[in-house]
Amino acid sequence: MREKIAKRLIFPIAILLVAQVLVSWESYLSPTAWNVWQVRSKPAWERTAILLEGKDFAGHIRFLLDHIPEDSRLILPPRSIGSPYEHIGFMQYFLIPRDIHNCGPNEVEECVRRVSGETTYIVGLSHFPPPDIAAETKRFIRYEGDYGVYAPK
Amino acid sequence: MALPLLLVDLFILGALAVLGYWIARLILGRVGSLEAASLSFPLGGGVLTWILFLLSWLGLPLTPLMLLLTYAFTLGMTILAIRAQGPQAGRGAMHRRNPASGAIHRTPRIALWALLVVVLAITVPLAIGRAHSRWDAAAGWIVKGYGIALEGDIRAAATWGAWGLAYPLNIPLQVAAFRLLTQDLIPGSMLLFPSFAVSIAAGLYRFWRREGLGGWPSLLGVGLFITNPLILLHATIGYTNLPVTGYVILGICWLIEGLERGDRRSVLLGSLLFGMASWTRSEAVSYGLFLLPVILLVFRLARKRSNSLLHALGPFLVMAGSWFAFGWTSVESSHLGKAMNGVLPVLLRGEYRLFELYLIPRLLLERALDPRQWGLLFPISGVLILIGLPRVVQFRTHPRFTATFLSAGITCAIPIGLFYVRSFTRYSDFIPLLNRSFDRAFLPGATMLLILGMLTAFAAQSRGSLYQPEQP
Repeated sequence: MREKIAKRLIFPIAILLVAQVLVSWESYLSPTAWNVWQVRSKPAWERTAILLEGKDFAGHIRFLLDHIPEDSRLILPPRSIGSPYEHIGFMQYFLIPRDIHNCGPNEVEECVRRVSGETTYIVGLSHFPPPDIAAETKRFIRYEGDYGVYAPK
Repeated sequence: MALPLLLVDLFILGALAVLGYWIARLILGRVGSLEAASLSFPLGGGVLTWILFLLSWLGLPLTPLMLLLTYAFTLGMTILAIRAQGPQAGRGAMHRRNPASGAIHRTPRIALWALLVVVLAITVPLAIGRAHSRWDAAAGWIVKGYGIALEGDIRAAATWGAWGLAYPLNIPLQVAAFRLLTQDLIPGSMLLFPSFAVSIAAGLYRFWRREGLGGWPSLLGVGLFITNPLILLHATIGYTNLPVTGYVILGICWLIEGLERGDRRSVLLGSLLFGMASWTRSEAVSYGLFLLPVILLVFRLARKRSNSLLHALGPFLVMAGSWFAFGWTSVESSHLGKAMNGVLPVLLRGEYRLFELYLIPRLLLERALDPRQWGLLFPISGVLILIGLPRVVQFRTHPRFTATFLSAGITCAIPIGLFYVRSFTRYSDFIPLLNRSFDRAFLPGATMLLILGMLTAFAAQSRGSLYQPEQP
């Protein structure tokens, strides 16, 4: 009895399998293939950046790669608003082998004043760092708007 | 520039599979095409990275030369060990088609290979094309591998990428291999994930056929697995959940088969695969800790004969134990480690967080019926399990059904339990955590439900003419 029921299910399951294939194609494969096709000529890091955070983020990363030497240190804002720039691991992916650190959440001004070394850079964002304090030891190289990098003078 | 690098990346992948093939031969004796397809890559990657881990732990620097020498040495020793075993190297577990079965029974196997080639043709370009475009991949697994390659030391994983040393380094070390040899520019590291998907698919087909399912039902089951939206997603992103699923599922399959046939080599292989699961994600040790004793007990009670605990537990304990010995402090201080430590005091205070416990299966139920998430896996598996459920109680005559049923239950319960534990420390963001992470944590459980449904509904009462035991 069980075997008869099971055998009769094979054809319906095959039909449902076709339906699943169509769902997978429509919900994941096709849109992903389209997105990937749009960035096919970019290097791997840039495809990652664009697909994950958008072209603006990728552009800023490229700017940071061009302006921060590989043997330098980069200071990121503290973890607060959930920005990708706050996450050390995430920024390490794009900027390896650069040494990357966060400022602490309650000591931003002290942190920015502290990082006055000649090989230390600070990522420039709309909310970080405090521009007046950063300007004491760094010069701002603009990417777009408030985005850029604070480089040693 | 891209094509030569891609060819080198494919060569690296092939080299891992070659190593894994010979390791499978060492353990099992003879290895057929299905065994090779399902075991080569997972075994090769897992064994090589584990050896690299031990060597780096001892202080040897991880360099391209060291990687190549370690590979060559491991491969050479494996082949020498096979030769030392002699021509009667075990009964073998090779699945061979009955030569009398004719062309019509070859068709499902041919269709299987065609399906796997099509899946690779779709997933490999997608995986490479999207690169590491998921958060945990870029911020964790991949950059950890890059950091290890940069510093030539596994301890670099503490400062590169998220989570410190809370997670084992199987996948990061495989990524490091690509980084060391090709700078991972393609990125070739993304070839790992479609390979795991296809390995699981081949393993499912083999297990079902060995357990008496017909070729076409087995192929249908593989199709349901490999075309599932969530499986296809994880075959194209750099997360470790699909590799863990592969090791756990293949471990269960080989353990059940080995105990059923009294084949200690298969049992040893199952234990090794559970060890590799633990070597891929820390929490995956719970699969070995719960599944190994339960499955052993089922067959012990059914067959009334003792099983070799050394074969069944040794490889798992060695692989899992080595990682926890190295990284215990980091594991304990991880999110999950803190949650585990924090659960008991809260429970003793009478706070059971029942609402969070309710939320977990509720979320699963909502997602299980959404075809865009889980495809049609749960409805189909559910119907098949209902049809085949009476077989589960055929404990004495067919303990494989009981063992598979219990394995499905445990693999489903483990992620529920782990997330329940996490709820004790993730008060404010438990629901976002659940939404973000539970589906992929449930991949082994979902796959086991499919295995259970197909097995209990379609397996012949006896395995019939399509199974031919290996000739001594």
